[in-house]
Amino acid sequence: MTGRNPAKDQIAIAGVGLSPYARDRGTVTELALLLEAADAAIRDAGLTAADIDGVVGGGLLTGGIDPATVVSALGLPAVTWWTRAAPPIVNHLVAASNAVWTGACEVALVYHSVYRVGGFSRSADADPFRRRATFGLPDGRAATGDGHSDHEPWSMHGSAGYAAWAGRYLAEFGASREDFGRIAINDRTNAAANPNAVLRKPLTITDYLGGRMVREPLCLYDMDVPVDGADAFIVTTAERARDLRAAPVLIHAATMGMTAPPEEHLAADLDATGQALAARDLRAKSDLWLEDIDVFFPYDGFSFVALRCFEAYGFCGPGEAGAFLADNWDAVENRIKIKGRVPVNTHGGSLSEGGSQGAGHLREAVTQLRGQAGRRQVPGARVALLTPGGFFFNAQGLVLRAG
Amino acid sequence: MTEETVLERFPGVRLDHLNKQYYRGLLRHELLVNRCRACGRMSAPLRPICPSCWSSEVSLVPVSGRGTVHLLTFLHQGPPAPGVDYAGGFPLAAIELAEQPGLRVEATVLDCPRDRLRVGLEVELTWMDRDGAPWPAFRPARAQP
Repeated sequence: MTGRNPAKDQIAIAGVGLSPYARDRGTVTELALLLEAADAAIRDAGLTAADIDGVVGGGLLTGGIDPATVVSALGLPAVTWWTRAAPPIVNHLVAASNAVWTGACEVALVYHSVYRVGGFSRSADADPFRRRATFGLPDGRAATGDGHSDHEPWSMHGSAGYAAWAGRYLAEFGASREDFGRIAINDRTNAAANPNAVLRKPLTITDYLGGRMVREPLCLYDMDVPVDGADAFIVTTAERARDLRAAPVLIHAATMGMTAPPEEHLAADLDATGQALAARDLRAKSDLWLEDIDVFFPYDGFSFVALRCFEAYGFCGPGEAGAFLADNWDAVENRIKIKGRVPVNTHGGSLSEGGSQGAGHLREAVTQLRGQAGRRQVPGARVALLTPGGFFFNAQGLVLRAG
Repeated sequence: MTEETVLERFPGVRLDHLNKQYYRGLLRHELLVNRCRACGRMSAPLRPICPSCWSSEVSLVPVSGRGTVHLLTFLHQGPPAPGVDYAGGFPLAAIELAEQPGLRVEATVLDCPRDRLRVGLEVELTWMDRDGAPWPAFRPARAQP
């Protein structure tokens, strides 16, 4: 962690494409979702199949679609770099940015899809232990554990870990569920102006506090909403992007953070997590910081993650996010406006637009920095801060600027 | 106890040639953690080396079972599991074991009224049945004599 950032502002997002989110897209396959988004992104950039020489993507639930399938389906004639990426979305974006920066490719198609599934299993080898090694959930974990982790209701891997740390946070700092509720209400208010959001009915604090408890102290409104949908992005050099159709959005700084132990139940403290490291590293890499941003996208797969972002990124101290949100709440607009100016998760976030591992946040940030967000547009938006991912093994940070 | 027995008793677990020792311990009602013979640190879950000093001189040792509730949630929904009642909130805890700060295992807490169950509660190891095999659980610690 040295702050070295030679690619600062040298790589651009030159296209975005969406396959609309829905609670259920019915018989549309994950590949069809992905291709719809990819087609839209390539056209948005004013490019054709022949221009795409890099491909990177992946999703969480199914393991995602392989780049070779995408190359096949789109008929890309000349690809010189590809790889899969595990969500959240900055993983994909950093891979593409690195590939463009090194010359492995010039124009990368970045894709992310979400497709609700049940479990699946495979079988293999004669060694029964090897056979055991190949069955499991799509995220690579076995039906009831791999000896290193178990699953709900026996393990804190995933959602339960966030709930458990949220409970400890409430006890340690005397915070309240209302503090989580502000994140949910802010998202829902913003979602009303986003046609891609699946939940758009305004939410009151009474609604929130009455929400069905799922994993105490987190209720239904604290958890992102499952959807079908996909996003795609075109990543290329800033120089090339300036010649393309869309206004370029520059990758100013990007980071990922993980610290040992990354297991939810073993983390020493929330200030010792990957999220805290990502915040420190992004600060070291970025010339633009909190006072410079026009719109903020704290990741909100769980409301508590977003709440903690305000602390980890230094808007306020540990345990102070609830008070900070109260102080920066615009009662007329019924949403967060930091210092009366900077709105938060303008698209409604994962809690209201739909859970997409940060892909929705990235699409909205690009849309805002291009000035194309319509009713949601932040006037004169030039700089955005994004913090995709959670606390432990998937924390990320990103600063984007208008080119 | 043969490998076949361990495989049979834990049909849903991703058993491998390392963690089979841990699961064999469960069948003996022993909760095992790694102990490094080089630096003395204990760790869980199992790894083939010591995360502190990278020595491969690690071996499994049973713990006393004494600990405190470090993290706690109540699950009101989840995948169906035998003996798990989500209706009142199923407790899931991370127990910090007495042997070493930061040494934690995940388990439910049994035999504890809801209003007593909180972070900081002193607990002790007990055992519960999951699909016909013993798994670790915890209960409030009995007063020490």
